Amino acid sequence: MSALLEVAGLTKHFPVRRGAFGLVSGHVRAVDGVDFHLEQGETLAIVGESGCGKSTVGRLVLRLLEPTAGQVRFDGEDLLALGDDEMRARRQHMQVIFQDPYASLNPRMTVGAMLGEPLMLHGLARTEAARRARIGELLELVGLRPDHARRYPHEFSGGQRQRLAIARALAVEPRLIVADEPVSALDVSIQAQVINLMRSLQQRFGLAYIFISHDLAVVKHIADRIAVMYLGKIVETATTDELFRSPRHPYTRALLAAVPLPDPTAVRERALLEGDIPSAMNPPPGCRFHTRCPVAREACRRNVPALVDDGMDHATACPYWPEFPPAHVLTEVRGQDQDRIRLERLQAAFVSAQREAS
Amino acid sequence: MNQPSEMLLVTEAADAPALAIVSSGRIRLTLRRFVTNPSAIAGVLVLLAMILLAFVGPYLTHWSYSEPDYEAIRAAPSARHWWGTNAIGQDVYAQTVRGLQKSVIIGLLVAVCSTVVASAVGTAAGYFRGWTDRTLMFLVDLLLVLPSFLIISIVSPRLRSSGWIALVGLITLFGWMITARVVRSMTLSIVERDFVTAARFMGVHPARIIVRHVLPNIASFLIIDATIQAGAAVITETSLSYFGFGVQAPDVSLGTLIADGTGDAIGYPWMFFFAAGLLVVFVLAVNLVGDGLRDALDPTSGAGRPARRADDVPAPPASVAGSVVEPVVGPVVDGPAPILRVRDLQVTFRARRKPPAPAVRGIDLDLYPGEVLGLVGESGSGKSVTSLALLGLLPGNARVHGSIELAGQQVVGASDQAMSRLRGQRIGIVFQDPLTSFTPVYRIGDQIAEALRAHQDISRERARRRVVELLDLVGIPDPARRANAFPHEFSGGMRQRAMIAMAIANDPDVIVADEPTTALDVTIQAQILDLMLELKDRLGTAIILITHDLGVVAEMADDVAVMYAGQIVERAPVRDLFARPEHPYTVGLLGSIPRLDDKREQLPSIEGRVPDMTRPPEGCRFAARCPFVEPACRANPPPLVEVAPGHLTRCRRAPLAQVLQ
Repeated sequence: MSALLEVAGLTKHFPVRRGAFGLVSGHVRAVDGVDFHLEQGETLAIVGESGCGKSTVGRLVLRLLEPTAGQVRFDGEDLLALGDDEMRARRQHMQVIFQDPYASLNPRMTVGAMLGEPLMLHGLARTEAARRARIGELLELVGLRPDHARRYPHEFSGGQRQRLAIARALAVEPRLIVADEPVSALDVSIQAQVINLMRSLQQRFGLAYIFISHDLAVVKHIADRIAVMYLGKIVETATTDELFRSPRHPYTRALLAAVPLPDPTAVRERALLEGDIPSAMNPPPGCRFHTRCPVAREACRRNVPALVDDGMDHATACPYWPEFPPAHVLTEVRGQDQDRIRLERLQAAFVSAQREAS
Repeated sequence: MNQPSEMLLVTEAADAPALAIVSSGRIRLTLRRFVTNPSAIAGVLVLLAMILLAFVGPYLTHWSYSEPDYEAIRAAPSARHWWGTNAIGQDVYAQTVRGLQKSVIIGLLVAVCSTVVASAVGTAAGYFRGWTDRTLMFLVDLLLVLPSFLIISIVSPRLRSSGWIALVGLITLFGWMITARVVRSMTLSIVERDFVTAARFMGVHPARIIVRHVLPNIASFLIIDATIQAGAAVITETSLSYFGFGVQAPDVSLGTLIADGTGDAIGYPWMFFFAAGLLVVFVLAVNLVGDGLRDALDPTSGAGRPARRADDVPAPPASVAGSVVEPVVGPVVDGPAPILRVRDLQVTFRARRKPPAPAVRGIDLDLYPGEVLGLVGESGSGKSVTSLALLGLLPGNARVHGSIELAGQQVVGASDQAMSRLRGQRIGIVFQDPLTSFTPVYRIGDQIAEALRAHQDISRERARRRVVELLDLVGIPDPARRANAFPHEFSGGMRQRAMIAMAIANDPDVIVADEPTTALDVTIQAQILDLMLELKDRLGTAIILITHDLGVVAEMADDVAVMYAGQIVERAPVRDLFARPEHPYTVGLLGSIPRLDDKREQLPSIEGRVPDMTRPPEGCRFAARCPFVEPACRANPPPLVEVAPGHLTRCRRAPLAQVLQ
């Protein structure tokens, strides 16, 4: 079976223009040779810090931005070779959800008009009655009521708005959804609702997700596979379980170690990364991480490490990883004691009582 | 990461449910806001009266505006000539209503035409950018530098055959550019918004995007601008006509009438007075309508329901229960009194045409030197409002009640002067986004030096040395050189270090850190948290850490207060809170965080949402979402009770072990 989405050598350099004549004075190398693939019904998370190029990758895949180089194959077909009209037709199969539910919904459109627009554009509901029925169905899918169609976005809370954005994405029955930080702007208890909704919709419709996030803990709960990016390149990819069990790249390990655990008793070694992320306009030569890497050596300044797959779908862009000590201590620290058992029973009671009530 | 400011969310949360009840079109809301604004209504009535006068007025008299009455030259107002006659015996009333008609028609036509041109050019330039933008903006700049008045005055008299229509065209030609520029910049920012990206992604045609997605979002500006344009066009027309370049005889406009009347204004005031008076009244009325529209269209100016009277507001819970206010005892730390002592803090926001929103209800806190108190809660919980109250930085529409004692000094009701002495010296601030906390045009070093010299009598030179020391202390490399940098030259992490340097500059007793790492990347966040802990140990400063991130709290805090809907619902030493939470909200919150150290198939969530703060529930504020709720919970607000040493919870069912039975 061939992958739903195959991306090879994806590259985007933004020209930096200066002065009155708009002369190009340099390039921001936002994405620099990224390869990955995504199967039907699978979730690939792209994680990294600001400026690593993760959002740009999402936009390149959807051709919201034109890549400088590379290939994007959707269902075996090269998207970059398509003309505007053909691309418009393909977009029925791919959709997007943004981070900020306050910016992603037009404040002057009713929910019904907003959901009706894609239906009309792609000719999915021929009659007014069919459209209204489909809009009601979409709203129910995301846990809202059909009569919400008459309302405006400002009448909804942040979590509900994100549900509306999901409903809009679902309207055209896509096969792939690119979700760019979809829960980052939401409160924790609301985050859980939206993540759960996305998971259940995935199981129901066999959706594939590209889930772009800076939050490793969120990613752990939704992704099947994870790609970690640093300064425009993927430094490590693996299945979620594998990545959290045995992170290999020094950057991945540092990222995991830096996440504060909601557990005051956790004792972790904290190898702090020093310094700031270098500018993507002028990335360091050799391994891009070497300026902050706690275990960098002389060769790292010169040689660009390749992303090498170990044959078990775990690829690392650091040739020295086999020499590092195991890192499982980073993520599994919770012990089993009296308090923990009590807390788990309480939480289980919380959930079941909540379910009974509703 | 974009954690919206909590203040905003307080009003959002307060708005949403009430609006949901109204649940109808924006237009009706706008209308309702408009008709409840007396000055706008006055403007509309005056304007309607004038339009009526302009178009019906000419038929009320048998005099024509051009035919002279040779028997009455410069006649004073009388029954025969209501507003008198002019130097050649023409009826002033007939002339004035005719002139008004001309001026109103020209004004309205210019307003409509230039708004249409400006929106077409502005949206096209903003949407397509590139060459379209550059060409159109070149045209705009060109028209702006041309001496428009001169050109119109030369061209207009030569176009006599087409008369006032040509005048409309000329005034429009030179009148739309500023509006077009504003429309362009508004379009630029709207096009950046995700909903336009989403529409583009769906393949919506650009023209349709402009009409359906861009224009409705700038409509309020266009409507207001059109009223201003109408007023301005009347003035332009009047000035042109006054100098004889506008409306040409025998036709009249307010401008020609004023021009003709000025010479005789002293001896025969009626020839001048009526035209000038109508001009002033017309422009004023148009402006009143414009202001009314601005208020009505601004979604932040009110929720659109009739304002609730102040006496409808539920009384603060303190008076309901009587037992709610109890001191919260902090951990026993060697040493004397708490450095910060808060008792029954209440903050209520009042806004025009909105019910008062009680954001914080009865907070008690004690903070000891060297202690880190974590204040956690979700948006709308009141945690940021509490911190602003501590700093005396609440906006003017906030009413504060209760007591905040900082090192023995009362903050509530303190004068601005006293407060600014306290800030900096006694209490330091670290905000979420340091880019907005530093003035962009001054060097970082100068800004910190200024903070030093505001509170200490030291020389410029010593302040400078101290700044370098401080920057070094917070781990900024090459501090002497970096002190000369501007805020935008620092990365986010560096700016936050500089912000911390400024906060500790005057050795404060307390630092309020409001989401200090929320805008930072996780590896940078770790650096900043470490820095704060290190400085706290070295300087003995107490920290109030406000955050939504339970991971940050677990790592930093000694003591945690969990806030929900304006109240502290649980307070405990950090280990107790995470290991043995005693409030259902805390239990739900701990369950719903995605965590690195375990993986569940389904994340438990807390269903429902925070209550409408303008109408808080009678009993426990969490009752509506609490799975362990009992009838008693809904009847009376639960008091804060101590379930273990230093562990307090606002739950009737505590200790929660009983719900497991």
